[in-house]
Amino acid sequence: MITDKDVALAQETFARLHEAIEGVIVGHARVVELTLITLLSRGNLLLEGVPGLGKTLLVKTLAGALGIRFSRIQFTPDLMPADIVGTNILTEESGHRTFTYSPGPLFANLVLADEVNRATPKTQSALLEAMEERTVTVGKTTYSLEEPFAVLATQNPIEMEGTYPLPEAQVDRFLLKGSMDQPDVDELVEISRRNTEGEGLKLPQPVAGKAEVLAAQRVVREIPVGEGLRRYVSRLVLATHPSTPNAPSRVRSFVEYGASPRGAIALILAAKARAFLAGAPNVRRADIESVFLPALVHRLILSFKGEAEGIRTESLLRDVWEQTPLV
Amino acid sequence: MTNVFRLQDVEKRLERRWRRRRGMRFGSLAFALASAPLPLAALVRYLLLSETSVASALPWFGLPFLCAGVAFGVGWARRPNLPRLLLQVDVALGTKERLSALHELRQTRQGRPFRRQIEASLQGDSFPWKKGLPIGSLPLLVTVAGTIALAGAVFLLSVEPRAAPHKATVPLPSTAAQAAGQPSTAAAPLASDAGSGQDTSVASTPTPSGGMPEQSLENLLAGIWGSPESKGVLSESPADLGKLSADGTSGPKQLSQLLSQLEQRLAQSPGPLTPQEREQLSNLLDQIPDQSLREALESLLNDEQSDSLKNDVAKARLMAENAASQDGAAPPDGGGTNPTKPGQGDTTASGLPDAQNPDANPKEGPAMSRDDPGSSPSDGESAARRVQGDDESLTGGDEATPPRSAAEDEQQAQRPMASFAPKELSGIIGTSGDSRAFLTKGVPLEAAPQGEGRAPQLSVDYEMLQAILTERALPPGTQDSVRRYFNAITQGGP
Repeated sequence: MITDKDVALAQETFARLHEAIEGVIVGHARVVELTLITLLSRGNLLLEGVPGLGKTLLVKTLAGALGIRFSRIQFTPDLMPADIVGTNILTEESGHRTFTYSPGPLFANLVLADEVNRATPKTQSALLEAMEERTVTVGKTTYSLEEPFAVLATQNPIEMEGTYPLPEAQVDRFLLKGSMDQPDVDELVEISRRNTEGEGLKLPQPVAGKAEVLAAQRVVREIPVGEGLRRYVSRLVLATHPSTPNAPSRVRSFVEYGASPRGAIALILAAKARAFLAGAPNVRRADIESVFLPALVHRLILSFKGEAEGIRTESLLRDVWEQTPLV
Repeated sequence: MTNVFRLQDVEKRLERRWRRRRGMRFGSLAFALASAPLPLAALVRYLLLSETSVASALPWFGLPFLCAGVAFGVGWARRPNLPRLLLQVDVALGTKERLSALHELRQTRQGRPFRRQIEASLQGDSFPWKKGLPIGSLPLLVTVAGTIALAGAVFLLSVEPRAAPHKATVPLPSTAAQAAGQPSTAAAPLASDAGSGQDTSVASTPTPSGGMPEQSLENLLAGIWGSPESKGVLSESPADLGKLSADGTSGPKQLSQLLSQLEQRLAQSPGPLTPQEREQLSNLLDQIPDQSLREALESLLNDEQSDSLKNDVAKARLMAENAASQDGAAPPDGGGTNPTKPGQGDTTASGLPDAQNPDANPKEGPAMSRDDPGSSPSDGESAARRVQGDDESLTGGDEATPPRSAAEDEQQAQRPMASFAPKELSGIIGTSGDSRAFLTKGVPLEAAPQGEGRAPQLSVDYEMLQAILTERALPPGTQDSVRRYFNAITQGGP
């Protein structure tokens, strides 16, 4: 049972965290917000953007501000699953040789899976269990990951040669998908100033710890959502399916598969976290609208016709939003 | 703690309002739908000349109200989907989905801090929950439409079907039966409104044994009055019919008849006046306009001597006969017994312009004039000339009318039309003897002299009759009634 104090403390903690991140990251306010929402919702974030936009810096800054364990995995085609989850190694102690489990970089609170689409599907699949169940199974032993845990994966949307598109099962496990856009002139000026003067860029000092993050996650889950809004979210998700009667005509034409139930869960959880960050006592329609695209955009699978015609999933989701009545 | 927001209270109010609104929508829609056929049915009734009375149609007017009540109950019976209703109110009030969230918190009993925050943000007393669920103008508009339909139905029901009244109340006997001397199959009942208050036993036409028509004057006039074609042509006032029918039995005439009977009684059994005779004379006293006749009648009432009484009665009878003859020649409204009502000053008892009053304006009366669009100019003009010529012949004018100049024609056209002003004319009609009662100025009768000392033989001038009827712009149905009347009183000819 949470108290008023818990709510106030959590909101204060994340306000400080937000401020600390903005002290390092120039611009990208939307991506910063999505990152915090992901952390509060106990989800995973898929960041899309060309190299050099600060994806890694964002994750490192977040980890530094929270004072939690951070690991970075650079995904390459020759990366093996054991390189991620860890492996049993033979050790000798007091004349006895035993296999001892050596945890991989996945055992951290914040994991940056850089260019995740460069690894083979086999290696990518090594993340599935960790992302959903927060566990890792090596051999016959299952190891729990320490909370809070979040995977922040990045992928380059342009350089597709030698990449392996993420399987649907893995994409569906990302709570949100964000994209980092190019900074404008002012932001670029500020970025260059911070990185070229003095001692260079400094990561922030921890402003919160694991406990505060976990407390905030509990508070977020208590934020109420009205039954009407839940039904609205369900109708939104169902409207992404081409077989649904109330689906927009373009969805029926260009979508092969719509969002899964994870989409509805992600939508409500992200909306709760967004309401928390906004200081609202309940989820509002505006919160749902704010996270509607990031929560569903990667869950729709276009049909061949849609792919051939270059249909963007965002435009289909806008149709869904506009044509689904609230009441 | 009056400012504490109580979701339960709001939910109850919203639920009641939602059910009431739903009931009103259902009820108003049912009311309008059930009302819609009524004006159509009333219109059909009007067009098909059905004789359905308003009273018999009244139960149908209860049907829309019954349907509205049932539909309201159906709408009221259903309970709302509360989460959806609350979200609807949230959207309408812009409360950022707090009501539905609060409802969720109350159901799950979790998130107490958020519950307090939400309740604090919603002001208890001033929470405008009614605005969140407006009744809307739709039920009102639909109800108004239904009411208009009902009013239209009532209006259509209140309008008499065009042919129904006279068809139902004044069946006229056939002219053929009358001409053959057969008794009428049914005495035409006088329309209740037209004959109310009239003493028909006094005003009715004495029917000779030689085959005079069995129709009374009232019946014939009622036939003319009741005809739908007479609307707009004749006065619609029932009193006019009574006045016209009473022309032949004015006070002096009644007095004359009564005094004749009294004279006969005194000749057989002399004696003072009986109380009944006194009462009858007293009753007639008020109807006598002539002052000298009134004085004679008063002295008669005061006379106790039988010898002088007999003389007084004879004297009074002569005065009464003179007064009656003068009364018959004068317009009814000029004698003082029938004071002219406001708005009828220029019309005679028949509702037609007074031919003997040159100042009378024929346009003000309900009768047709030369300017009336219903009359044919060419036919009407020639007919008017014939009527005028005949009027003059009947009133002692020159029989041979010299050719008129254009100025004279114009002057003639500006003269008032001939009217049905009563005129005393003695003559013999058919084989039935003298008839004076219904002959009026302009009656198309020819008087054929029968020799020295004999009354002229009267017959209908059909050409003149047709001209008069055409001039009056009487509809064909009414023309037939008039023609039958004259056929009846003259038995078709000399």
